[in-house]
Amino acid sequence: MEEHLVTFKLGSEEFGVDIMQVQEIIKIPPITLVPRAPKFVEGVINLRGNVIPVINLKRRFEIANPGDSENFRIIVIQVQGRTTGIMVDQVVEVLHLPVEDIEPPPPVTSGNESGYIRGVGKVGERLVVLLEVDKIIEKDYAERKAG
Amino acid sequence: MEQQGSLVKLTELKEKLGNLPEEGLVGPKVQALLSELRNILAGLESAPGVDQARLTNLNTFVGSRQSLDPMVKKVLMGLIDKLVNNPVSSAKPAPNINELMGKIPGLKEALSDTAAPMDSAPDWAGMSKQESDHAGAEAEAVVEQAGKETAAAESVGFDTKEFLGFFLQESAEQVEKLSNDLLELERNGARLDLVNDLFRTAHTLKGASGTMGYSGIVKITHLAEDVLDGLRQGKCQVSAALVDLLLSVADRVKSILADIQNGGEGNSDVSALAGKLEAFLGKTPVPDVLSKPGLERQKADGVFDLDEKEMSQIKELSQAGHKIFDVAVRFNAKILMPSVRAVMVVRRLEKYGRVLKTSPSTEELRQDSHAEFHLLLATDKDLNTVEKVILQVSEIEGVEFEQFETVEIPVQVIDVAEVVRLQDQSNEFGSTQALRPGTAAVPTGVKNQTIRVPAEKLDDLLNLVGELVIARTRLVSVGDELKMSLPQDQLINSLNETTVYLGRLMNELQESVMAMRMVPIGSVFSRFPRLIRDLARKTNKEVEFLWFGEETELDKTIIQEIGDPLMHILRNCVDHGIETPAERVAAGKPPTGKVTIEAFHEGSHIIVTVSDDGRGIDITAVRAKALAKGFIAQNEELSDKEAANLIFLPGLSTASQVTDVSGRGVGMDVVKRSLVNLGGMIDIETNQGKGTTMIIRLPLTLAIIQALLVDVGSEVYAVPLASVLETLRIPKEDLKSVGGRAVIQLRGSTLPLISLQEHFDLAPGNSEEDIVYMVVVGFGERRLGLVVDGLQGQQEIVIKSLGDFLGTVQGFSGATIGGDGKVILILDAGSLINDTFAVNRI
Repeated sequence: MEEHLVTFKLGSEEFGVDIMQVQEIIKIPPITLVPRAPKFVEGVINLRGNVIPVINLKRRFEIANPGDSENFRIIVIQVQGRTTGIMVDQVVEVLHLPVEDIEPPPPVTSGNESGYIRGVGKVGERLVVLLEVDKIIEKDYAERKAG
Repeated sequence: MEQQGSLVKLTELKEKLGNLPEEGLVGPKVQALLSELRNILAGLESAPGVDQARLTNLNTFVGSRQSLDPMVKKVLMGLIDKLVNNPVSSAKPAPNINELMGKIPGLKEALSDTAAPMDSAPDWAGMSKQESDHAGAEAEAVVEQAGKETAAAESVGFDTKEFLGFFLQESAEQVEKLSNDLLELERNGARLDLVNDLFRTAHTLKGASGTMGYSGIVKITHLAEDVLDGLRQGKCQVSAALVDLLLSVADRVKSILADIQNGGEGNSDVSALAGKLEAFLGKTPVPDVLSKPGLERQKADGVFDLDEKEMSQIKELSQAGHKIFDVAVRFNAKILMPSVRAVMVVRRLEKYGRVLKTSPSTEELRQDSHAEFHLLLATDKDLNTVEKVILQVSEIEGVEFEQFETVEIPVQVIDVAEVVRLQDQSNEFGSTQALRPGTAAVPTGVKNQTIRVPAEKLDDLLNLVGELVIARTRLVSVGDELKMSLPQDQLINSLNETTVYLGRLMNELQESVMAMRMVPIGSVFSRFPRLIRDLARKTNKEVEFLWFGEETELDKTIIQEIGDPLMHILRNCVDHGIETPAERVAAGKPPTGKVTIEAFHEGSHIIVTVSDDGRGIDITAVRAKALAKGFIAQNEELSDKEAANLIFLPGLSTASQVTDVSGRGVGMDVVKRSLVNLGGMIDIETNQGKGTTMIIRLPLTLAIIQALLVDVGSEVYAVPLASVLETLRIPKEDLKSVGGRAVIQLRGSTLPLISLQEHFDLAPGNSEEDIVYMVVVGFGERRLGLVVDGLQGQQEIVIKSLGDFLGTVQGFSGATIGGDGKVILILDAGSLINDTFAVNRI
């Protein structure tokens, strides 16, 4: 058993999402600010005529590293019929990870990332944090509705 | 490759099914088709490449059916389609990573150029769009397919969920038809074709609900069928009570359907209504038709619930020399699988005659254990042979035969002269009808050949058209630039000609797409005759309802919204406007009041007028009430028209007594607000003693509106033109502050202001000018000035939703895409105004 992941960087850390959730990857188009939206919402973009929200994961996880804007990308994720963009610092690769190389999430995960980590993959010396993007998005949607 | 041949045959068979006319769903032809289907399916059992779960599903559904109804036919065709088009391979290959990569647009490119710096501006809406679209769709399709496969593999037996949406839609239409036909019944009496139609509709509803397992609907529609049958046989007459009773069946089915639609079980208690129906039928309550009591020997025609088709089939067969028997089969007490045995009996008998019906139904027999069952057999063989055949099946204790008496269906003589007279009358009055108290006619729907398309598909199409418009704009500017750099080149001229032509095509395309979203307003009107009828009965008034222009088309979104406001106005007309017959006669008017609704086009708007010839609005009373509530000043001079318009203010109902129909003071202000929200207007004309007319003006569409584009800092916002009152250029020094709030004196009155840049916490623009621009917006009676950095001008914009994630963001009602492809947010003047005034009060 292997997992197929798209990995990307937020600051210096490397993260991975299930390739089946990824609809497409685009360069950063002009983004329209949405006043009074939550902070981690970067804005909205036009994706072939549809208006979709873009979430800034770095701001979501409170990662300060500014990154190199030339490599910034938006990974367009499809979760339960919703299309949402997540802005990342850099798309790294498509990873083929044997399940036995995935370890359960460390027991002490602090801060905003906890609960969204499915595990940590080991690739040689590299560590890839496997994110449950759907959970992050689901929670944000739920909070928007409640708020 | 044998199964390939079978699959081809299956497809052909599906086509044959599709070609069957609605009336031709019983009879030998259908039986032959069904048995052919069973043979093909048997051949596909355990064939490689055939989804066995689906096959089982289909097999279960086909069972030993001998006839079809429209719903069953469609479900059957759907199941065949699924089986033919989704052959599943036994082992699913592991996804190939290269394939997956290829299916995610932008991935390879993102990976390859992360090392190298980007060489140009982001080409985010670039040329490879079509390709990426295509690939994206494919990837989605793969995911969806995988999901479906799992679902199918998990499902055992006939999965009804798959057809729920279809069932709901179809049944909703049947209910609508039922109510309309009932009103027609009340108006024109029990014409045989009409009663038959009603019967068919009730039967279709019953059948579909039975298939889906909604026993409540089955029960009441079954009883409705009995009532209609009584009508057909002349056992009872059309009366207001009968129509009321049957209408309440339609209503009940409607509410159960709504419950199912909202995720409910659809199993609410119908016993009260069933009791009423039974009482009407003069019956003592019978057990629920879907409950399974131990079968007792009853008289033959009581065991089988035969519909009209079956009756005529029996008649046909007996005329052709067949004998009809009611066969009672009793199983051994210790039988293990009675359902299997029952099916075996039915299958075997099919070789010797025709099994017309079983009781309990074949579905129930399959699902549950019954110690005994009845079947209705038409055969030309002698009884001994038949008995032997049955007894060959093991575990059967005994068989009894009884000759089945066919009941003659009385043929009702239709009075030709009467029909002709009715037709003449309807020609004379167009679509109007003279009505008795509490009756109403139903708008005749124009029958067109139509295709049902989900609204989202049209929205997608509209999106793509919008994108095309943007792409064309780019093409035009590229052409212009080329002309500047290569003025001599002939090719550029032909390029420009082509873009002009393209523009014309685009306009036509856009218009056709918009036209597809248009729905005739008749679909809203069709609810009203019933409403007026019920109201008239309740208030003991005589009302004639007339309507015109039901073919006038409006955008679907508006159609969905205007039903309630119109209904409210109509309620007012009957409840407050029209007088009682006695009052009318005293006032020298005919006893029957008139309520008219009319729709017609006027430019890019449609006008809907609702008028009554009742008592009109008491202007003096309205004035007094408005004065008492402090809406107007003692010395304020108002024309009668202005005074009449006061009824749109909240809390101003002049009804002296509150009825359960209307007059609770949450009246016309709500109506006005919902119409304004739709971009519409309402005006009123009233003439005391003569009547009232409401004039409603609505835009043709909500999807495209006129908007004013404004600059705020580096952002651009769209303000719907419908809420813009005026735009002004004002010197900065005129902006004042009163109690910490910005205001401006405008033509003698004080207008509150907000700066959009401050309101939205945006970076300030770098304009150093002493002049600012102001957009004055209005919502209801309130006005607000929006201070902006610049005005870009007026433009037609296509409204898009912000989606549920950002849908709750205050101050915006949606978004649109600008000419440069960037998203532009649409300001919600109403919420900005409410916000500002709310803050002011604190």
